[in-house]
Amino acid sequence: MSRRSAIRHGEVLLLPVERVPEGVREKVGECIVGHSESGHHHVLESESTFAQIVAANGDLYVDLDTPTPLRHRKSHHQHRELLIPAGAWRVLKKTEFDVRTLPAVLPEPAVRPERNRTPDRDPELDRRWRRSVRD
Amino acid sequence: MQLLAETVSAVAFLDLVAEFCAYRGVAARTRFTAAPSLDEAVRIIGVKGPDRRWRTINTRGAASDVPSTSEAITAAALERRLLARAVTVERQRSTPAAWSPSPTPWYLRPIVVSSAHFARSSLTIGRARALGLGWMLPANGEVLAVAMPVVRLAEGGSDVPHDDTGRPAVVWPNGTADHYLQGAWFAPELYRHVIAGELTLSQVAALPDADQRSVALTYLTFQRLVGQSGALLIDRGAKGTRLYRLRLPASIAADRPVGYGPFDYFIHMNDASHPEREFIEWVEPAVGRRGDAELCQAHAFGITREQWLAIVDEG
Repeated sequence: MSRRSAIRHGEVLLLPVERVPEGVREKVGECIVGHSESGHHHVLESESTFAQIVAANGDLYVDLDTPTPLRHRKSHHQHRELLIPAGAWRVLKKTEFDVRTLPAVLPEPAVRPERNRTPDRDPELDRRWRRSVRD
Repeated sequence: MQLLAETVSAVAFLDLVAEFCAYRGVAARTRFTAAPSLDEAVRIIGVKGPDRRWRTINTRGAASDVPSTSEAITAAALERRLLARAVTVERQRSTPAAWSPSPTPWYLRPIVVSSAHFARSSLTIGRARALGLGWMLPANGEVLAVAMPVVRLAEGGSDVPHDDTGRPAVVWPNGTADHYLQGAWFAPELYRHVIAGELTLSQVAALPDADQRSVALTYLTFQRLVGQSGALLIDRGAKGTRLYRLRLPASIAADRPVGYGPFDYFIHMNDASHPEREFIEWVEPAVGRRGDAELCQAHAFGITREQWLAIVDEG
């Protein structure tokens, strides 16, 4: 199988994974991978069914048996349709920093604030400080 | 966006409120009224004064009204937020010149007026809440029951009223409405200017409320930020993302947490499918300070910089 890389569709990102974790598994014909407050959802739509898995921590995964279209349900300025290769994918949604969710006093930075191209991050910790990006 | 409720039963819960008051021994010499809005109920209790029997309302009760199991109470934080807003409005209305922060009167605290609070200990209020009851304000000789308004919420936030499409986020049973952006209340004219991106940075800095300043800042357009506010380009990434640094005016910097620093950071990018469309997104300063535009993008998705740069298929 050819090596898969991440695929971005607007504020939604599908990250290839080797296997999906345990969770609530459901066979579906379509899956909203990016929910929009205005109804402009990002949707995987298949003519056959595929597995949608919600892991114990709430993360969403899909396991596609065949290449599946990812569409943006919007009549104008929609993100172009992409064909997602078969395989297991973790669904990620972009979040935007929200200053009002910070604690009143910030911890001392672990590193000096110079240019540093090595990401040393804790996604679980970071998630608390951000909010969903508006569509 | 989600609507908290489509409709409310404006007076359906009044009998249940009366029943609750009977259980708690505060029903005698009292009439029960459905108030048209929370602002109006707070104004009335300010004029009539409180029913002092309610000082001990939480120590009263009847065993037959106590739930056998405790169920999760939703929207309690939203109730507190709307109550706090109504109390602030009344303070500013009644003492505009000499207004200063002071403790909320006992008869306007959530543990005295909130249906979410009493639903934990009263079957009757649990049922009234299901019919739309939000608050009970114990005025002298009259309990003012207020229905929960119809509320539009920010996506992913169960207690954050929000609508930036021009519609009010909160609509009361009497038709009055309030505009909120990410939980911060805005007067109608100011709201229109904010969502239209018409404010300048100095106008945002001059807003009287810290939450309003924080929210309004995020609605500044790219042209305002760069052309009039002095935002500085500090990196242009391999995938075209631009990272900017904005020196904060003193009043906004003072709102920030201790240790935050004097700058905000944002990235400016183009839509992959429609390059003529541009967006800005605000960035956590600890990441922005690293001066790497593409790292900011990776961080926002929760992936590594290498994974971000490896993306070929985008739409």
